[in-house]
Amino acid sequence: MSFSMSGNFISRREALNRICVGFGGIALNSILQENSSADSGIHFPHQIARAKRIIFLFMHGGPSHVDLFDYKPKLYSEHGKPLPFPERSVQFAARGNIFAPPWKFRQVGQCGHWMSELWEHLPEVADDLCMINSLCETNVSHGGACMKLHTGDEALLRPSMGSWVSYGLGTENRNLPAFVTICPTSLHGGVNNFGSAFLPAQHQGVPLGTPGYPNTPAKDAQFHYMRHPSAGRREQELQIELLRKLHGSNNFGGTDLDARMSSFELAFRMQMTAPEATNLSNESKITRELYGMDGSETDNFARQCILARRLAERGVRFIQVSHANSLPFNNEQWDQHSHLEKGHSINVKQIDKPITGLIKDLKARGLLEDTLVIWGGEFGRTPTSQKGNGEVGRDHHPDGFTMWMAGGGVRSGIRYGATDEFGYHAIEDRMTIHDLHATILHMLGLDHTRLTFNSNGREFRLTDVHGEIAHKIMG
Amino acid sequence: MFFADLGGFHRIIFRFIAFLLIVNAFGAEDSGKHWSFVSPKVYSVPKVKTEAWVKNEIDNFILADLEDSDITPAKEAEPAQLIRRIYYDLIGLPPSPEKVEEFLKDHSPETFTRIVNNLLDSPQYGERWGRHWLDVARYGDSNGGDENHAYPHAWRYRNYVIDAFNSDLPYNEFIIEQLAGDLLESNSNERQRRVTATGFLAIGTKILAEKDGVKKRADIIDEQIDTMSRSFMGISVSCARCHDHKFDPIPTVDYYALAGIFHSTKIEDQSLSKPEDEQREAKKKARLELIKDQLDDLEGKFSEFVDEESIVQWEAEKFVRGNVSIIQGNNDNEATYISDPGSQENFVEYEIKIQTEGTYSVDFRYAAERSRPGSLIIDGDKGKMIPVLADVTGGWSSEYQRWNHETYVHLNSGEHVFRVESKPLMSHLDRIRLTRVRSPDQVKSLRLRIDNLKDERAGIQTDKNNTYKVMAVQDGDVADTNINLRGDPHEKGELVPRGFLSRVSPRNVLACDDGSSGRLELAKWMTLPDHPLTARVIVNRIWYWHFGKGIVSTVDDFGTTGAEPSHPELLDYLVNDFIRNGWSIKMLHRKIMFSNTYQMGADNSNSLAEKKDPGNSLYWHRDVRRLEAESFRDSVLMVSGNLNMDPPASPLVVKSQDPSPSDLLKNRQSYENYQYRSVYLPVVRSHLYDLLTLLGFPNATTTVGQRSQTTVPTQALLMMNNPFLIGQAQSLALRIGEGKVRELYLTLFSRVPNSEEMHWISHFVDKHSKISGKKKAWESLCHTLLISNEFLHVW
Repeated sequence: MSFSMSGNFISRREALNRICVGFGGIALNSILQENSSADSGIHFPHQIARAKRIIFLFMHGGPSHVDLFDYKPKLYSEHGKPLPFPERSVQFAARGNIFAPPWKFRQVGQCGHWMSELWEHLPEVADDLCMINSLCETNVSHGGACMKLHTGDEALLRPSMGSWVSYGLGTENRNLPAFVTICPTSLHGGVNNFGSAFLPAQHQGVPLGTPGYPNTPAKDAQFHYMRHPSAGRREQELQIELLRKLHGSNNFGGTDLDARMSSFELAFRMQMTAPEATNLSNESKITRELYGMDGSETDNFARQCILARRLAERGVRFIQVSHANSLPFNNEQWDQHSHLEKGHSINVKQIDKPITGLIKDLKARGLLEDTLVIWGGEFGRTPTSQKGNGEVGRDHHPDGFTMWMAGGGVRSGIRYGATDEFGYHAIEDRMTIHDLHATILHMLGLDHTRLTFNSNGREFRLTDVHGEIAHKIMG
Repeated sequence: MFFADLGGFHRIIFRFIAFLLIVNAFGAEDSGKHWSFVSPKVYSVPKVKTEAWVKNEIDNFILADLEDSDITPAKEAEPAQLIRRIYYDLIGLPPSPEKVEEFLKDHSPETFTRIVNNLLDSPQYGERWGRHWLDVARYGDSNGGDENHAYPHAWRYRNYVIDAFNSDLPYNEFIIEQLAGDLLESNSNERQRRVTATGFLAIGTKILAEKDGVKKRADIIDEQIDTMSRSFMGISVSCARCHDHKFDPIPTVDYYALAGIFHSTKIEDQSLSKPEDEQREAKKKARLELIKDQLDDLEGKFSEFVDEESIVQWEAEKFVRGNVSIIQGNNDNEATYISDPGSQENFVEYEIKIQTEGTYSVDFRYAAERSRPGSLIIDGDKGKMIPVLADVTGGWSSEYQRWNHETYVHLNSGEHVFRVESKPLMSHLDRIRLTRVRSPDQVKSLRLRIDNLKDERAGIQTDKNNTYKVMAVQDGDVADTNINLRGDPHEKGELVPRGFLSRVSPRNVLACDDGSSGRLELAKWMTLPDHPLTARVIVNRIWYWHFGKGIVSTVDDFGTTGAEPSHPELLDYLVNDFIRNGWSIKMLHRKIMFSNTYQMGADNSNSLAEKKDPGNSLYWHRDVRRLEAESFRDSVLMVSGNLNMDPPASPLVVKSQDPSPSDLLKNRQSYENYQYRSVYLPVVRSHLYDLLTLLGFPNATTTVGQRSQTTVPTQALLMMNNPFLIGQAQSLALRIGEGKVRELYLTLFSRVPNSEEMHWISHFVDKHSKISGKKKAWESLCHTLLISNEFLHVW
């Protein structure tokens, strides 16, 4: 006969109670001793952490692995011929024959990573990159694939990986949120992609800029409600002082009311910290040039990348940077069903210098060693062309595609996994999205099988019941 | 002695074990079962020492445990606190200062009873308690998930829920209507309501862009099963989609038995007619039938007056001159037609040979969704442009091709040139026909009668003002379904007969050999009086909504991983009482609110009790509760004089799919200018109103019986800087009038300020005035009090 003390004996701390279920008594005590106001979560890694924080460069729409990083000579020699094996049965659009990339490939860096000639700047940091060519097993539509990449599930609404990281590790800076998403899009899951679902609300990603379609330009991206529309600091100080006095005179309060009072004090401090964190005006000329700020094509993404570095410096755990605008001839940034050549040229141009600048800058400031940078989209693109549509493009491809990582204890200059000779199926060291999540959590010192949360009687994980850690990519 | 050595707390544990032993002693088939899978039992009301404290049976159960632990319960709440408590509890709004003052003068038990009854009878009750249910039913106005299409008719279900609570619809009927309202025998009024109720199964989140149709259907059904089992039975069945449930007795077979019922059900909007127009509807139907008969008759008469031999008919694309596009039909059944290639002056010319001189009827066959009028010119006579091609046939595609009579013309025998013009666009013209009329006058009068009848028919058919659509379900292709191996809908295992949860209650046989889906049988099984979960789950929910904690603290999880009840005998007592009272939720409210347990004060200063029971699980004092998001917003609007208490006549429409930042700004402005109660705000999944979500409004994707309450600085930032709140504070300042602190306190806190508070406030106003002037200082005071702990909490 088991008897559970369950919720009622600490019910005043209901939210905390719910968090503790998955962790037993150890976490319970440490949390109850904490002030409940801004923190509820775990705040200690399960094991040694290789990285303290993540910068996730999200390429919305599905960048083409076979045109960017996954060199397949067969696509050139077999151009115009049908694939020698059947295509997947569930497709987004009808597909044609093998289509050779419009660009040449060359090996770059000491390590000899393959990159197409589209990349002008990235080769300078090639030796810092760990190229993963074997991502696979995601949904064929943007919505399902974006949600799978961000939350681990393509249909049900689950906490975002940034929320899990915030829940697992908390924030290093109590004046800033632990999870910030810079210029997010409202498409394809939208806010669900940075939502906390059933995790407590403080683990939700806080957007810099309004999540919209199109998304906010980086120069206008701000946290919400950071400024009173008319009153100044002295008036607000008076308000806080009065709130404190009135609160003190309440007879039967309890910790919740105390917590609410301290949240006002914290908010007041945040009003000073946060605008400073997002203000780029003091960035040096050298830095601006390094990222390509003020260059007409690179300015927007450069600003996003500098913001990411500033937040990383200030202890934000999970920073997502979305390359998620639209192009005049395609809906989503990287979604070149048509105009592959034109679209990918523009896209690479926009991010090449800013991303290269970010990696160099993180390295120069000593941040790269404990910041894991991840680059990738929700899927790749087919080695075949898409039928119709005038200017040639490629369809969505969830069966084998590329992401890369840098910093944060990852083995640099290596390639992990491979697709077949057509770049179609991942065949070597396959990395599913669950495997990717398990690996990322592992690098942060979190055990994906133990990072759990009980919601309505069921223990949830980011990786559901799956997830193999790719130990080979760690140094 | 063993018993004497036990502290109060341990005695309670002992009693709980005894309860489990009693439960298990009932019937061999129940032994070893988790408590919640065994039907509720009848317990006698325990005896207590301090009988004077007892107002009804609830108090016996609560006090018995308190006395066992030697804890004295807190005194009854102050009248000012009590009236504020019952107002917020039942209608989610504060009492007016007048009501407070009245109650302070007379707070006799009779007055208390009368106020509770009045509040239960007010329409605001359903707006408050219906919203509780909408949390459970994961109500939303868009599909959420990937693309977020609007659900333009979902609000009908929301209103159904509000009405159901206001009319105290018995809870068992409430369940049956939501699961199978369409399958009940109903009169027309009941049918309106019951079909609307099935929206419960239709409003869930869906991934509409999923390309794999089989998976999409399986996911939607999974969502239905999950919501149904959590909301009504407090258990999660979904794990069994892939494997037998790890903790609860739910094998995969049972999941697919349920899935079969929902595979046999389809989600489809349905048209309903407004109840008051029922008779009119019947009349219209009869009239339409009569028109059809008359038209058949009249069309038949035509042959008597026309010369069938004379008919000249040709395909529109067989023109001799023209600048139009010829559009090929996709197959043999689809007409090839002509139309404009784009905006231009379109024309075609035909050369026609007429054998017999006479009056000819000119008929065009074309399709048009919108009117694109053109002209017919015969033999170059531009002085006589005959209007043609102006009708609307309903659509552009082939199935909307119709013959339309255009005009009568007199034609001599010999060659003629027919020219058709239309600019800038042109209807989809398929054919042209000329028919010689033997008796022009009779044909014309026949034609007139036909045209009049057709006009009347069109008028009746397009009159949709008295019908409306609802999101609903109905039976589809009824069939059992296969197990999906490891949850993969493409991997079929054995076929499972439709049915219920086989291990939850002994009566588990589905008998629906009438070829229906089994939803009605499912609903009836779920509402059996001895179903172990259904009544317990709702009674516990109602208790939770009154006290802020459940007798079972995990209100959505009654499975083996959920919490055990803190007062198991009380729970079963209330369940039996609830069923005896015909599943009446209002009766349950009265039972709870008339107890001393409910009316206790919030004084938690009893340090001995605090030491023994720091979590107050024994109910020795009232817990302070924070306002829900909607109560906060509605109260702010109310005290500022900006709340419209009427239900809105039509829903507020905002953009849900792919909103741009400026759309989102517009949405926000719509929310901020909306003066109706929060329950009527649209629930756009993924783009919920941040004022509400920051204060715990659920994300509307899954059953939420218990909202999460968090305290984060983003809430504080919203409180301090949100322009809507600041604007309401300005209204409040204006409404109360500068300097009237007493009125302000009565309005916001249902009490008068003490001298210390008066002192702090005048200090605040003085200092603030020096910076910003007196008016701003007063507004700033109103703002500060609106976001204070006291306004946001109920004692």
